[in-house]
Amino acid sequence: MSNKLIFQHHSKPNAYMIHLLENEEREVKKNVNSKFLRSEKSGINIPSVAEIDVVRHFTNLSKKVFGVDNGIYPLGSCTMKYNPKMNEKAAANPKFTKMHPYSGESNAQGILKIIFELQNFLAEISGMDAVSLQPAAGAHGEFTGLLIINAYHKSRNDNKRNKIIIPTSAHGTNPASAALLGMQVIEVRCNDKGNVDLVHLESLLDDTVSAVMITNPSTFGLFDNGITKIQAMAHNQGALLYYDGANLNPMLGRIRPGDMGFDVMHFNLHKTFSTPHGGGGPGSGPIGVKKDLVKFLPLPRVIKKENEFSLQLESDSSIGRVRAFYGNIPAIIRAYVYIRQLGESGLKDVGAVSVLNANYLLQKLKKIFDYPFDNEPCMHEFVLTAKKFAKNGIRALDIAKRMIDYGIHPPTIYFPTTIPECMMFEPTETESRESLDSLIVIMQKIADEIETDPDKLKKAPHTTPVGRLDEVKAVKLQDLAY
Amino acid sequence: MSFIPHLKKDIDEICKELGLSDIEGLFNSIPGEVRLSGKLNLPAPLPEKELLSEIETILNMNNTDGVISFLGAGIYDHFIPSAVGALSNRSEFVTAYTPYQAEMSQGLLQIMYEYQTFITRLTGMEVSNASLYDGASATFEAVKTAAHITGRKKVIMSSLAHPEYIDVVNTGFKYSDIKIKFADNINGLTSQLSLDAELQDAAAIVIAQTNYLGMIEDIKEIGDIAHKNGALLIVITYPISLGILEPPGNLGADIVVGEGQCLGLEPAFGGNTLGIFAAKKEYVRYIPGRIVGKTTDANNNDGYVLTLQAREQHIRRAKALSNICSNQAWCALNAAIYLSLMGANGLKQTALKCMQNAYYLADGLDKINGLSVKFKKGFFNEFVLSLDNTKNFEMAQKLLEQENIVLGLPLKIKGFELSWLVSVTETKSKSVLDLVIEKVGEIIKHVK
Repeated sequence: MSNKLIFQHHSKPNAYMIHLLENEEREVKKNVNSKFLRSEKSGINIPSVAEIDVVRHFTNLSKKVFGVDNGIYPLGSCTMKYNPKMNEKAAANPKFTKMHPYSGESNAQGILKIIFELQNFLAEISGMDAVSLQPAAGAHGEFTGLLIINAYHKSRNDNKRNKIIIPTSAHGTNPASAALLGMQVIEVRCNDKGNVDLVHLESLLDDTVSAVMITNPSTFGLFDNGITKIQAMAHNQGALLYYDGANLNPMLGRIRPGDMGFDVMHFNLHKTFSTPHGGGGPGSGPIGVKKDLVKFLPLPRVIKKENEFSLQLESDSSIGRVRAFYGNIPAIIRAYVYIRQLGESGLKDVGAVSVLNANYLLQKLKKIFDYPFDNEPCMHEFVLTAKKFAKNGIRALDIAKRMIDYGIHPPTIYFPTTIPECMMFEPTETESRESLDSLIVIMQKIADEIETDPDKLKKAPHTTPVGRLDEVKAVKLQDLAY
Repeated sequence: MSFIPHLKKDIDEICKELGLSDIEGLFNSIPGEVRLSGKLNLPAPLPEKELLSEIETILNMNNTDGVISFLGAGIYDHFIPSAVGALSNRSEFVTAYTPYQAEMSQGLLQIMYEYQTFITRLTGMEVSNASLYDGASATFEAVKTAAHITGRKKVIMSSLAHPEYIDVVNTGFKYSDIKIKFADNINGLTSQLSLDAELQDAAAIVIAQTNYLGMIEDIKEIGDIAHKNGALLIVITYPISLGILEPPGNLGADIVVGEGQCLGLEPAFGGNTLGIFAAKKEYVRYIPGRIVGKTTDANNNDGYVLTLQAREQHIRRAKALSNICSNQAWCALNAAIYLSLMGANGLKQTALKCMQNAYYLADGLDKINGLSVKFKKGFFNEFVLSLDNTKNFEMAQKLLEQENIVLGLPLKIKGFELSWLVSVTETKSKSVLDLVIEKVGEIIKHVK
C-alpha cells in the first residue's frame, strides 16, 4: 500500500503567505530585464498544499521509517548507537541556529569556542596533533586526507608517488577516494585471520607508494596486531599511513591511531560520536594529522589567541577548502556535548561495552551461523556467513528480509566482499542485554524457519507496506521524478 | 552518563559467560606498545543539568540579540514555517540510517523521490539526485562530471562565483590534469569577451545565478556560446530566486547545482547545507551521489528504491564516478516540507518580497551622502553598496556595530574593497528598513 505523493494533493494556499498587489509586482519586476523573469507559461509546477495535509503526509510517511529510536539496528560498520536527546536540544538552540557564518569573530565566540574545543578533544582522543572539522562526511574526510598526503610528498619534491595500497576488505569509499585523486589503487590481500598479509604488503611497497589506508579493527571486526609492522614497513618506504576512523568506537580511551603510527585519519561523528544519521546524512568527517602535516590542513581552522577565538584564514601550505563555510555545525555541537557528558571514563566505558556486547552476540550467533575466524574474539563488530544455508536455497539477503518481519533492522550484508553470504553485526554499547537476547531469539527462530518453511524467508518481508522491490525494474524504468 | 543500559551485574554475568575475569580482559590480546598508558586529557564529565547550564554560558558568548543583519552570500535568513521543524524532528526521521533496506524505509525513500521531483520542477531540469554535501562540493562534482562527459580537460569558471566555491573547485582539482580557468567580470557580470575562444576546448562553463554580487546573469547567451563550442553549461543556482527567475533548465543548462539551505533550513553558522545537483536525463548515468527511483513489488504495489547504484562507491569502488557515500537526507527532508508548505505561489511571493525589500533598501541607502549602490538595477535580493573612498571603511563598520547593524558582508574581491554585499530577505518589515536607512544615514555622517 503506497501513500499519495505530495504532488497529488489538491492545491490550497496557506494562511501565512505574503502577497504583493498586482501593481506592486509590476513595479518590482521593472528593475530587471523581463527576459530573465519566468514567463506565464513557465510557472513553477509545485502545488500549495494546506498545512494539515502536509503535516499528515509527512507524519504518515514517518511511520514507514525505522530509526534507532524504533528498535535495534545492528548494522556493522555504521555504529548505530543511541542519539542522546540532550545533543539535539543543544544543537537546536537559536543562539547557534540563527548565526550566519559571516557574523564576524567577535559575535561568534560561543560557536568558535565549541569548534576549537572539539578540534582539541578529537586530537586528544586519537593521538593526532591537530584536527580540522571541515569535511562533510567520512568519504569527504578521506579525500581531504589524501590531498594532504599528496601535498606533503610534493612539498618534499617527491613527485613519483602515484599509488595507494588498500586492503581488499576496505570500505568502498577508500579506493573511490584514492581514484578521485588520480591515484592507482593497489589491493593488498588479507590472510585467513582477516589481517593484512604482511608478505604481500612487503612485495607491494616501494618508493612510488604514497600511502597505505588501513581500518583497524578491520572490517572483519578484528584487531590487526600486525599494525606495528605495517607502519614500520610503510614508513620505511616513505609512504604515509591513513586511518579510516569508521571503527573507532572500541578504541576509545584505550588505543589511539596516533600511537599506532598513523599520520592522517578521519573521524565519523555520526558513528563514534553519536550524532544522528538523519536517514542517510548529513554526516561529518573531521580529519586529524600529525605535526608535520598540520600546515596542509584545510582552512579556516579555529585558533585561540590570549582568550579570544578566531579563524585562521591564511596559510602558505594549506590545501585550500573542501567545502564552503566551516563544517557540519549541528553535528559538531552534538559531538561536543556528547564528549562533555561522557568524559574520559564514559568514553572508556563505551569502548569496553561495545566490545563486550559484540562478543556476547558473537558467542550466541556463531552457534546458528558460521563464524569464519574459529575462536578468535571480535572487537565491536563481527562477520558471519550464511553459506551453509545455500543448500536450502537461502541467501544472506533472505535472512535479512525476514528479520524485518520481526521488527528489527538487518545487519550489513555482503560486506566485506571477501566473505560469501556475509552478515556484519555491530550491536554498539547502547543495546541492553535484554535487547541482545531478543535479537538472538529472533535469529534462532529464523534459522529454524530455514529448515521448516524456507519460503517464509524467500518471499520476505511480509509485514511491510511493500514486498521485495524489483531493483532491476527500477533501473529499466528510470522513473526518478514525478 | 554514557547511555549504556547495563547494570553492573549484567556486565559481570556476560564477562563470566565469555570466560573473562573482568571487562578489561577483552583487550588483552592488543599489543602493549599501542595501548594508551595514561588517561585521555578531557574535561571531567558533566551530568545533563550542569552541562545544559554550561552550554547556555557558552551560547551567551554569541551575539545575536537585537542584531539587524543583512548578511547573505550563500546562506540566507528566510522565514521557516513552524511545521517544517515540527515534522523533520520526528525521531524516526532523525535516527534512521540510509534506506538500503527499501521495504522498511518507504517513508524516507518516497520523501527523497519527492525532493528530487521538487528540484527538477524548480530548476526546469529532468533529473535530480538525492542531494550532495553543499553547493560548493556540488559545483566540484559538476565540473568533474562535465569533464567526464565531454572528455575535455579544461573548465571555465566565472570569476563571480562564490569565492569559497572557487576555492573548493581549485582544491579538488589540485592534482588533476583538469585545468580551471576564470572568465573575467565587468560591471558586475561575467564578461563574454574571449568566451567563444576559451570554450572551444573546454568541458563546460560554470556560471552563478545569481552571482556573488547579487546580479542576474544572461545565462542563455553564455550557454549558447558554450553549446556552439561543444561545451556544457553548468549553473549554480540560488533556489529562492527561482520563485521569479526563469529556471536554468529552460535556458539551456546541462547541469544545475546550488545551495539548498535557503529552502527551510536555519543558517546554523553555515552548517545545515544542502547540495543540489540536477541534470539533463541523457547524463543520468554520470550523476554522482544517491538517486531514488520508483518501481513495484511482486504484487504490483508502487515502491521506491535507491537506484542506479552501479555508479557508486559501494559497488564500483575504485571505478566509481565519485567517492560519495552519504547525502544530506535530513536537510533534503526539510527542503521537501518547506516546498510543500510554500507551493508555487508561496515561492513566487517570497521571491517578489525579497526583491521589493532589496530595491527599497537600496534606494534609501543610495540617497545617503557617502554611500552609493554600485549596480542600481539587475539584481535579485543582494546588491553592492560602496562607501565613498574619502571615508574610512573600518570606522564605518565599527560605528555600525555599535548600533547592532550588520549592514552586509565586507567584500574582499578586487575592485570592491570598500563595499558591502547587502542581502535582504522577506523577513525584514518596511519599518525595520526605514529604521536602518535612518540610522545608517546618521552613522555615515560621522564617518571620516
